[in-house]
Amino acid sequence: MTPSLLRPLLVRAASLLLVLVTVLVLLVVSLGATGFSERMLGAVIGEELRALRISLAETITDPDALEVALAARRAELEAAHGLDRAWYQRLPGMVLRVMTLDLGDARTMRTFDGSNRVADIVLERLPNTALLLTSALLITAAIGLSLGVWLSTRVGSTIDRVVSYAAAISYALPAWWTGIMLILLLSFQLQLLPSGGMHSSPPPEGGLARFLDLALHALLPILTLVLVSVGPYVYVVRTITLGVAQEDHVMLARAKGMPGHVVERRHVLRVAAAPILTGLILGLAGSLGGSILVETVFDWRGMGRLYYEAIVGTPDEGLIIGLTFMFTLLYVSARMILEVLYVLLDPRVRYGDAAPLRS
Amino acid sequence: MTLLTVDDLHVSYRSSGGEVRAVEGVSFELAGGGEALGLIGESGSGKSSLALALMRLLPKGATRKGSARLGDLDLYSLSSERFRTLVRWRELALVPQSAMHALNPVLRVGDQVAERIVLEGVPRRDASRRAAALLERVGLARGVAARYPHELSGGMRQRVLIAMALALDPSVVVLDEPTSALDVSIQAQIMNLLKELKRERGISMLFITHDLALASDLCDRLAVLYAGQVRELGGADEVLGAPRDPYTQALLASIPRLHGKERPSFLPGSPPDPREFPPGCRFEPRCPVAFAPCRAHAPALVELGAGQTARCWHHQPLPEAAA
Amino acid sequence: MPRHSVLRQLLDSVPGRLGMAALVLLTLSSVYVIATYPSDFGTARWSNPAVWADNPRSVPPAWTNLLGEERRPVHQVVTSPEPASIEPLGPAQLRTFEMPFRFDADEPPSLLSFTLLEVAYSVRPPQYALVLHRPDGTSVALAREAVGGPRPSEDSPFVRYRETPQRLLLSGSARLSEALPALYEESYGVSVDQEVLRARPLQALFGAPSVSGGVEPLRGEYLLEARFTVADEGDRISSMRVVVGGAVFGVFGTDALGRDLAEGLLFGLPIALLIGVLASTLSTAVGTTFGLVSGFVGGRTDLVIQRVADVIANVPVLPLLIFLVFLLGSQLWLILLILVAFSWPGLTILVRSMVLPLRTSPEVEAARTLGASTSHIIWRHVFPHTAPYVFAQLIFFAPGAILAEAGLSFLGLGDPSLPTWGQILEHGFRTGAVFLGYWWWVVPPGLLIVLTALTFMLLALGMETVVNPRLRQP
Repeated sequence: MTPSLLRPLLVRAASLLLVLVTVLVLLVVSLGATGFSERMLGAVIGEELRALRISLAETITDPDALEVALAARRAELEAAHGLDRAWYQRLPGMVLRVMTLDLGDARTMRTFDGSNRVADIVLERLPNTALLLTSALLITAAIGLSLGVWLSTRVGSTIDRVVSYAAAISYALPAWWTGIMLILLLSFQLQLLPSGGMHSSPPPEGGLARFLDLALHALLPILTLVLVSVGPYVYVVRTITLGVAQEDHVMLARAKGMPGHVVERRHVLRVAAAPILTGLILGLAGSLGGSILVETVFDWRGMGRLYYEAIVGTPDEGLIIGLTFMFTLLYVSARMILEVLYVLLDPRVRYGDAAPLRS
Repeated sequence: MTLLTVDDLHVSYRSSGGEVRAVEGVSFELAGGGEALGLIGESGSGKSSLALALMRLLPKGATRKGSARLGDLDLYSLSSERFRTLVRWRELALVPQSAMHALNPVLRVGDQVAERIVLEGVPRRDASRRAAALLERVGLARGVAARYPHELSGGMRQRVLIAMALALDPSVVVLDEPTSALDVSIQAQIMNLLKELKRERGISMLFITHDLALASDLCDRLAVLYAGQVRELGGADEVLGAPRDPYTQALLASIPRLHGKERPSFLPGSPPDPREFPPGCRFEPRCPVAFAPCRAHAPALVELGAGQTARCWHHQPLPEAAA
Repeated sequence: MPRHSVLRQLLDSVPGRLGMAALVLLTLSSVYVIATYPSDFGTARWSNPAVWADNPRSVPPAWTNLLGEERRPVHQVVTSPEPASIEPLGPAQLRTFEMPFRFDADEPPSLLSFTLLEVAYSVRPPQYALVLHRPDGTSVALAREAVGGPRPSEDSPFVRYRETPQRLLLSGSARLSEALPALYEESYGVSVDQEVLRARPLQALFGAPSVSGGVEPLRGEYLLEARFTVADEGDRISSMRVVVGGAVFGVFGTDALGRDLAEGLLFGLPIALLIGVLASTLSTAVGTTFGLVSGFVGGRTDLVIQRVADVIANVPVLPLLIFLVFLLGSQLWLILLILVAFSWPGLTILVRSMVLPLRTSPEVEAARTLGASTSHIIWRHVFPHTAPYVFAQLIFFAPGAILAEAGLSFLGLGDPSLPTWGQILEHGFRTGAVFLGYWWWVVPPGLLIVLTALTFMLLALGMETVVNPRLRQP
């Protein structure tokens, strides 16, 4: 990669890193200022002291001596965790803890093999969420691109108007409610697809059978995510492509006698690619939020469902912080991939120092 | 030797307010081998529609009538595929109006010049070499071929567009206000370049502009357009030296002069609504010398000798009803 | 572009007209709700189980009777504020209250209850008897009760049931299970299986012996008579009602707590509109202001605003929204505030890019030469050029905010003092309404969210040609 490609990428990377740090600081500041982190650490220390009391009780029989020993240990632990300092003095440590997902143990949640470390639980769920999100994103992109480009040549036609309305409805659909409707219709009424979960119980034997079973269970959640994001995306693609197709350079390419498909590909789509990609990036933010709700509805054992479980019932701060951070990290990483594509696609970003063209 | 013949060309658009008659009955001829004809008119006079109609690039929903011949090709009876391969760029090239937006922003300019040459079956490498030579010919440095449009100034882009038009050595180049977006000094450079090319390559030109002075610099003959019609057509010297049409006279009078006592006089009012032209002469509402017949009767374009024609009741017998 | 022509263009397009009509409808309905609902509806009524005690739980709307073969009983509440007749008995009085209702379903009502509101007496507590007169002329004594007697150290007049009305569940009373065998024996001369009468007393109470030896529904006009004997004619009996529990209820059915979904859904409308309008107005105002200042003032101000906007624009909103609401509490104003805090940057970046070229426009230069103040120039000469876009964004933000609040509510983070559509759905989802097939509980609230969001989307669609003139058809 040439330096000219590198520079704008570094700028974007720095900007996204700033996003990550800002979110982190926002997380820990709000935790500190509301006293949440204090309670969290207090709980960790209390847990440790309880264990210590039991083991010490075997050697120390004098109750007063036991209390003294425990109090000394408590002070030690509080100093170690920084509870003797104000919350803002603990900020750097907290940021580090969140970044490494060193958030202690979850209250009730466990991994499938029994670990109760927040990091283990969150990381175990990550692939499941990534599976849903990437499938939905790819399908949305494929439909959005083909349908949007096709529509851009038919602006003002009946089908264009129909799709405009459909896009508006698609945007107005809450993802989770759409999921519920699909369950009511396809699972309960027509009994076509499973209503939730990731596997049948018991799961079928054999790699392929297991995969197909998973795919079957993933169908409704993915369909839901696609339904709520594809409409606006088709519309964005259509409008951007239309805008480019009306530009002077396209007219000139035709005047030059370039064949229709070359004009379409090289002079319309190639130019529209970068802003169309931006539309996809913006849609990703929506899908990410949507996945929290959709996983909840479909009992899909991803980070979103975990988030829901960590909020209702007994709230679990460690998990909530870890998940919020992971969602941000996931989003920022996806953004970075798309930024690389963007820089490759649009020379204006590559050379110019001006902000990329955002539609 | 006449190369391009346009005969009774009409262009109209449909709009919510009614039919917009952009070009109505325009006819002219252009000789081959380096004649330049200036088409002069204000915005809305139909000059750009004329260019689009010649290139068969009118938008959907536009209607075209009349005929245009280029050599022995009937431009409007060719199939669109044959028109594309035989006429576009080989015979008829276009230098568009807006240098700012007329280049593809994500392709190197060299490739944009070369792509049409490749279409003729020339190997890519040779095409690129020819493109580079063309860019050099229009006064651009060697490295420009590898640049993207946003890295070039307005004047450089306009040169790229001119180089592009020369790619297949066309017999006619249509220049649609090629300098209107440029600074005056750059404008002069481009005009000089065009004059050189005209002389050196024998390319005939249709120079579309609103600027009479600019046109007189390059063109051998001038056609003045107003409200979709030709008002006056003739040799550049005749039209500029002895304009017969009141509209041409008004245009000339509005040009500021460096030496001379008269102050420029500006034409009052604005061109008529193309959806609803006046029943008589279309210039009548703004005309300083209009008289009774002008209001009710449309004058024809009549020959006034020495190849000069004009559309004015002052230069032709009055209609019988009015007389 | 002058404002009235924006409106004109909006109304020129079909989606614009549709959206405008829907907006007017939603606004009028909201005004109705605000005018008629108590201000503490959420806490005092919606979340108060006592209010809904008489309602059947999780039953579909009454109009579903039109769809199926079977006719299920409709929920009925009959109130009687005035006695139908007063008979003097010396110094005492016999006051008779009548509560007529019709029963014509295939299955018996789900419950029968009687509720007595405030009673005041001077000396002796009134006594009353409840008798149900059936369409075939037979009648059943359902209860014989006395109003609570005076307590020591209490002075006349004695007031009862002011705060908590007296509620008798007639369908479960011991007296009913005694009265039913007697009714069937005396009136029809048949003895029905005691077990049937005991297990399903309401089926017997609203039925008659069938040819086949069982019990079939007895349809027609019923009348519940309440006979009050009061010791003093000054004693006051304010009002009473009988509830004939249905298996279908109202227009929208009920939830698992017996709440009338129609009431909650209607209340959700002004809330949703408020969220949409307030969030979009605020974030548009903030976004536009920052954009104008950033673009027009330039320099360090511009740099700072753009950096901040860039960072916030790239934050994934929903996870953070969830986190902050979880941490700070789920009051509606807080949710709104957080939504606004995360949604302004897009507009700021857009407005700035439009302002930059305007900064050196002849119009602005002229105003500056004439000595206009910066704020005056921004407001009168710069802002109007951005107005159509700002207006479009104003419309476009609203559905996003409505959907975000609904999403939060669905995760159980909604403002508990204000029932919203999202919360109704959340309650339904959490209590398994989806899996039990209680569609009337989960379909309408979502549909209302969609319709409200769609109203704004249609307006945005109508704005398209205003914002993007290239799309205008020639």
